[in-house]
Amino acid sequence: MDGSTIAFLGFAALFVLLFIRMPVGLAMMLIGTVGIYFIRPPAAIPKLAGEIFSESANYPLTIIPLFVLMGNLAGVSGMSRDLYDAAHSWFGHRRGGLASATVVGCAGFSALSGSSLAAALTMGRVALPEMKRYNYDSGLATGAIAAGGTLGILIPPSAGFVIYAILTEESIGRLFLAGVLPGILLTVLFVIAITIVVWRDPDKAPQALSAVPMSERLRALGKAGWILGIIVLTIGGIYTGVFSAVEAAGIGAALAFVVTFIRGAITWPNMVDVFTTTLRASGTLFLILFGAFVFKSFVGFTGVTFALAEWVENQGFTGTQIVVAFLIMFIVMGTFMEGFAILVLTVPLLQPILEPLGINMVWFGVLMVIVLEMGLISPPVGVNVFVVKGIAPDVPLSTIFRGIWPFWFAMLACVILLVLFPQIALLLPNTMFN
Amino acid sequence: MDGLLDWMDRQLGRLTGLFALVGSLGVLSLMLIILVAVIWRYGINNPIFGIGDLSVLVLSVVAASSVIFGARNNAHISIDIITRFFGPKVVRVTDAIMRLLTIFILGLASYALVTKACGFEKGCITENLSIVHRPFYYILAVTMGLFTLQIVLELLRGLRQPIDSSISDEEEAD
Repeated sequence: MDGSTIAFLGFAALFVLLFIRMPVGLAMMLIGTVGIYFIRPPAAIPKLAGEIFSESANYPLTIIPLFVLMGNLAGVSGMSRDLYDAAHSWFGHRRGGLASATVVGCAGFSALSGSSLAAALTMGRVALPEMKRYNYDSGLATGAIAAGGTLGILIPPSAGFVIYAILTEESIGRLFLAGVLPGILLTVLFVIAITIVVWRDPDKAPQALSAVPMSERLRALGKAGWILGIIVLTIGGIYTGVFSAVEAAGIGAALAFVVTFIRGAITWPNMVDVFTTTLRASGTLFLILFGAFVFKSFVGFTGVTFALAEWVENQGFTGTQIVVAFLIMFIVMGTFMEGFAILVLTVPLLQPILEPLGINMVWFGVLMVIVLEMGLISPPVGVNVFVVKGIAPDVPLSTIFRGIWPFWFAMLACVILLVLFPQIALLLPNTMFN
Repeated sequence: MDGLLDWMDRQLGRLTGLFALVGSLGVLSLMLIILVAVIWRYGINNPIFGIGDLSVLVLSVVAASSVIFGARNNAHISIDIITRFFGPKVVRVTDAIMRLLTIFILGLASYALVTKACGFEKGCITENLSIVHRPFYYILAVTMGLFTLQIVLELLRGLRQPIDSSISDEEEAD
């Protein structure tokens, strides 16, 4: 049996295991180990042990527990609430302003937490009661939270970028910076989507608040100064080269700890909550990475990537055509698979095809992450939608999904803009460290 | 049998709790190590030799602890679309098969981490401080072993439950 056939059978078996609910990391680990055994039997067991240890002791992965810790501390210390209050005071008086404030709050929280679920959950708990109080349409309110949460894996720090960087051996710092402008662009597009929805049907956001005086707005902004300071310090530190991405994570977490202490939120229940949540989120990612690297080795042993790259070259496709085809494939996969699963399954196959075509892998990483975000809110398995359903149990799933469509199209617009103007993503990484 | 499973569950809970404590201290240590490294580099202008070695080894302990803690708390991602296509009876069988395969790969990983820890005694060491990797392979092996036991427990419990409740429990966990 040749390598390509073994690889094909491996992928088919992997999808069967995923279909019967085997955890993604373990399914990849099993297929990877058995596959390596078929190709080079003596390598299978040492490779399994070696990859698990290598990833568990992979220095750049230090970012994951530290940024998760930072986001969790921001939640218990009330920093996320301050951020929402500031956005509320600046945008709340506009039509649809509470939904816009939710999106802006999510964007700010995303700059402290690399998780979409955490962003949707934390901001949703604060914002949903407010929008209900002012009789916002359930679809618009829940849609804004679910979509706003997706900014979590685009705006740095981002768990998605860390995994992508580890798989492609790109710089985490460059990827983080590449996510900044698209993150801001997507936030603006979400706000525009809200404005259009409310303009078409004003009943969806019936009451506008009275405008908050400027002094109040500035006070609210000042109260959010801690969180804004940490964001500026960590992202600014990476941009100027003062910190590596790992150091920024450590410094950010330490500052969040100090703020939590100053605010008297270092209590035993809070710390148990913060650390257990951090460990759970880290465990999820580490297991996926253990499996992904065993599987990546298997794919490498089969040589299928060279065969695929050669086939693509022989067909005469351009880089843009291939990128667009992959993005469409991710959108389809996102409707039934979890984003991280798609990332670890496809990147080892795609990278050898994209690089010879001259595709910038940092730019592609940003596009991929946005498209995976679309999966987070796409029916039938949009994970963020279920998170929002958890905090709004009285809103039917069909209503949430209906409310999400304007945001889904805003994401599509963002992807199209990035395909047409790659500089939106590449400007900051290309100018970092001057 | 139920008494034995309950006892096993309690012991696993205790051991996982211990790893949660170790992992939490590990995360805190990682934060402090980085803080100290940055302060020494910029404040005292004297980078600490070998501090990166400490980071990666602490990270391996955090990774090991977080994986078993995640397993105990249903944090590992799986894709639940089979329940849309098949009823409880079929899913019960596929779950049993999935768990058997999971036990196999986790057991194999645990065995691999013990027997193939670097290939030869003191062969693998950290770059600067020459700390031997082997004990950290063993920590990972222990957590993979505990993960295996967790799945064994879930398999036995799944097989003993009446079909309807087994499915509703699964869905709740997911």
